[in-house]
Amino acid sequence: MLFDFNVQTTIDKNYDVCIVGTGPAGITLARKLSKSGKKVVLLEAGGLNYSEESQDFYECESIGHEAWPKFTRLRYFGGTSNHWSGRCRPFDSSDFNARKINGLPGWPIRYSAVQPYLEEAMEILDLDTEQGFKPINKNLLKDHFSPDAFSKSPPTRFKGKYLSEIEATKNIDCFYNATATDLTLDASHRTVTHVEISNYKNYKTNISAHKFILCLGGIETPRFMLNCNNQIKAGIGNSNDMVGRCFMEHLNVRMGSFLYRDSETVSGMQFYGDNEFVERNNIGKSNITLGIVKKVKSYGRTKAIKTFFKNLACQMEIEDKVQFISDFKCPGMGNIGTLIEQSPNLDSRITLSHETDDLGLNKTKFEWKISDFDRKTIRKTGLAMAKEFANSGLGNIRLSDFILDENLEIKFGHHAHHMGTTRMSENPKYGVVDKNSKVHELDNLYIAGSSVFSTGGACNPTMPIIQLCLRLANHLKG
Amino acid sequence: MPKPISRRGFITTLSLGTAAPSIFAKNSSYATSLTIPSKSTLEKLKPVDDQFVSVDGWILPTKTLIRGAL
Repeated sequence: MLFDFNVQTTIDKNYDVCIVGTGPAGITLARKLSKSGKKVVLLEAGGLNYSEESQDFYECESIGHEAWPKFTRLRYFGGTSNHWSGRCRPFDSSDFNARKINGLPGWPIRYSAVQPYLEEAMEILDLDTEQGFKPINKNLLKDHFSPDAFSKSPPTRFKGKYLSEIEATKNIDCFYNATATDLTLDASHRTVTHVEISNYKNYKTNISAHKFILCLGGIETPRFMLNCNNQIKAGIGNSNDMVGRCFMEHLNVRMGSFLYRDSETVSGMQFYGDNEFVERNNIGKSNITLGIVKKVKSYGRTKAIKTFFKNLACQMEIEDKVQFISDFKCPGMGNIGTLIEQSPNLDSRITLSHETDDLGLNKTKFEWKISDFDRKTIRKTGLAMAKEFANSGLGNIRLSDFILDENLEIKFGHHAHHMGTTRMSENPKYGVVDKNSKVHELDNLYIAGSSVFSTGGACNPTMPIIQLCLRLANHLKG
Repeated sequence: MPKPISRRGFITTLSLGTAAPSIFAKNSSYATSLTIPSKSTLEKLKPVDDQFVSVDGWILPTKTLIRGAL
């Protein structure tokens, strides 16, 4: 059932589960839990379609590196699935190694905890389960890097695929234009009793449920928890000051450019840092994408330049030489794109700004920072790739100056992958949720989405999010 | 019969002849400009390790450069 909370403002049912957020995490959990017989209320802060009025609630203050949350997340039914690119790659088993980085432990669960949900996650994302994950290029490098295997979702738009199903499901009540503004705890401060929601007219009401799941993403989930500060000043689930810390992105570093010797055979390549390379150097993981200029002639640029100079001596007439230069389209040239794992670090964090939004909630104050561990990852990876490229006879790489000079600041961008701000950990000192995604200090509050990632690997997060949601649904259905 | 001049002799004469005014000048800017290109070139060439060098950011196997010099 579907309700506009601007119109339908009476909610008098008791629900088994209250899910806040209708992105891939919230919708997946609502579908799974309703199928197991739970009465579910699903809340969406925005409407059914994009609106500036809703999107403006993502305005935030940034004092670190700019991450553009307002333009990367979408605040309406279906969430950010409404514009994701669809690239899917599963976590590796090595992503769940418990090695400490920057003094913080890795995942408290092993790969075997999420692997059973891979096939179902692939079906949800309309991936070909028989074909699986395949590389686009051969193994062209000798050491340290392998072709990266991935699969491409259409991409699945959760609104288009699941809105009518949610509307038709009797034991799901979905309210849109309903922003969660507060959580109320019982006297012991161990149990959430209800969530307060508000529409755009500032009309507020409470919803009761046995269990609550926050599916608001890597920025809004910690922001909401920190804003729930009426009963506990530091915010809900924040007694160890971990809510909002360890914000991670996948680092989009412009490593440099390259000349490829034989651009006739491929138009692009993707590589992934081998475990042996990552572990030996004690660095993070990486995806390296080499996109080659598509207007390819019958030769690579390096080869063409050699030929040109050879001919320059005497074989070509002057008009032929001029024609050659004017036709030259730089085949074989390209830029290097990266998706590099950012390590968790306590200084990269989300807190609350003094500014408030139209509903009176403090806005996000963003402080995205990378650590020396990340700088080492970027520089080691870039240099290793450049050497491998030359060693394997593929061509040559020209690295950006900040890769070679440690005195220069590394320039990087984002991938709109917001992770780690309510990270999963065995010990409450190092995270916000336990291995079942339950907030450590509360009995009935759970978190789903990339904010629970202990580490982010070098894979796009949507599919692992779905796997973890399926695992959580399985845990909660009993 | 005029004495034949070698190529080395010709180049030496030419370079000395060109350089002399700036060398003997009290405030020569020309002398400075002569040193800039070679210094700049050296700055762009940096060893990465015993197998690779960086030339203006290009990561090249050292053996390639040696082969080029020979």
